[in-house]
Amino acid sequence: MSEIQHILLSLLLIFVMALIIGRWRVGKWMPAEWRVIPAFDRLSHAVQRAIERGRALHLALGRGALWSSTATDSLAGVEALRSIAEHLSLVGQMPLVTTGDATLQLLAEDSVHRIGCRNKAGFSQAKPDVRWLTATPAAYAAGVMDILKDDTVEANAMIGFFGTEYLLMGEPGAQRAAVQVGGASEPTVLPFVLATSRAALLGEELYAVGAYLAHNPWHAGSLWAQDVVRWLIVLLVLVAVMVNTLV
Amino acid sequence: MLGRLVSVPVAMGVGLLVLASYFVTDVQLDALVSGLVYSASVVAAFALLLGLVNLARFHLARVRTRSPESIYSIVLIGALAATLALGFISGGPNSQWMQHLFDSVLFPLQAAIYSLLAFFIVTATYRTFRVRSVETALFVIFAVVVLLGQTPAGILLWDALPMIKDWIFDVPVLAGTRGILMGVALGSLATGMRVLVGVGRPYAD
Repeated sequence: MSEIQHILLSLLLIFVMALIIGRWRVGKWMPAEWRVIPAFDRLSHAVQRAIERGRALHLALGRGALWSSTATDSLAGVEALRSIAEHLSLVGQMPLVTTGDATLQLLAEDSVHRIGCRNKAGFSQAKPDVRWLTATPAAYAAGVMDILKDDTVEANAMIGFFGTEYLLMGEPGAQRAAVQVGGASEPTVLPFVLATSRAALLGEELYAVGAYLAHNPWHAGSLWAQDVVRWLIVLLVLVAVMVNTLV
Repeated sequence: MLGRLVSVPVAMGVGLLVLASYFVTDVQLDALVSGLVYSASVVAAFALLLGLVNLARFHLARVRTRSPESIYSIVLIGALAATLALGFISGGPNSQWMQHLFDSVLFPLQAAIYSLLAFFIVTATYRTFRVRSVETALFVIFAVVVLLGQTPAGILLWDALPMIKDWIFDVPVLAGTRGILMGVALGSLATGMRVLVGVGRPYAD
């Protein structure tokens, strides 16, 4: 193994240990509240508005394939979808979901279908509406723009992997939807997310969906593990700078 | 329950094998991982086929219910059938006819959609540049300096502007981008590790 591989493996092992400790800390001595991320409140507000008005909540999951390096962004989007669908299904509603990748569409449809089956009590359940629009970014944006011009869409959320096509969807969403929440991790897309949403999930905030919305203890533990490894990296950088300066 | 008993160990096992191949050099392991990665692309191809069925089903339903927008669905289904037929007749996606179809239909359409970006940037910028807080005020100041630093008129106004613009890109922008990238890398690592150790199961309840 090379030196880099040694460092990476050590970081991985430290991360797994921190993850387990973080999970164990939840409910024991971990602080009950983390820093406020306004986008999560805004997302809850979007769900509430969609329920109150009886209109659609559109969720764009982007075009990150599950077998590519962008899969983690898509998984964060699916986590948000599960939380949104859980709430909407309690009153018989389902979100309108669009994806630009076929593997992601399958996972999203499966998630929504399972939630719909589980929460069948009392209300006649709306059918899951998960659409794969197309495989190319421009056409995906055009498809989402067409959905957003429909007056039945009350709220719009875009959480997942996007490129510059984000602005093509975000701008009509900002003008038409009553509530819009965006989330992306690509630094080149973040200005578009900020420009089109009053509250946005920027960068690593995207991966905190499970901890903030679903209150999953493992997700909460992984937030703590991320902080531990982050401080470790900062410490390593400082030590490296000092060693290089002094030696 | 049975699905979970199968899917969780399979996902964990495959993930750990692929991760191990990055750290361990072994011919047999490399061959196994190559096979697994190849099988993932086969599954993705089938997913594309299912996505196509999903798309066709939605648009056929729209035509059947005579929705006001069914004309677009008819165009889509017609284009889909024509492209499929041309692909089969001309000998696949790399044939000359298919290339011609891509070059003369798909690419110009994509360029047309992307050309809308210019207008959307203007409206988004107008909304963002309304000063509502200290952050937006700083945002506007930096944007104006960068804009002027890149134009001849700005250089004529003050010849130090290009240097300030370069400093903005090299110091605060680069530092911020690195910070964001580090956070994203850790977030990705956390998401991946949760799936690998079986505590994150997006594919099962």
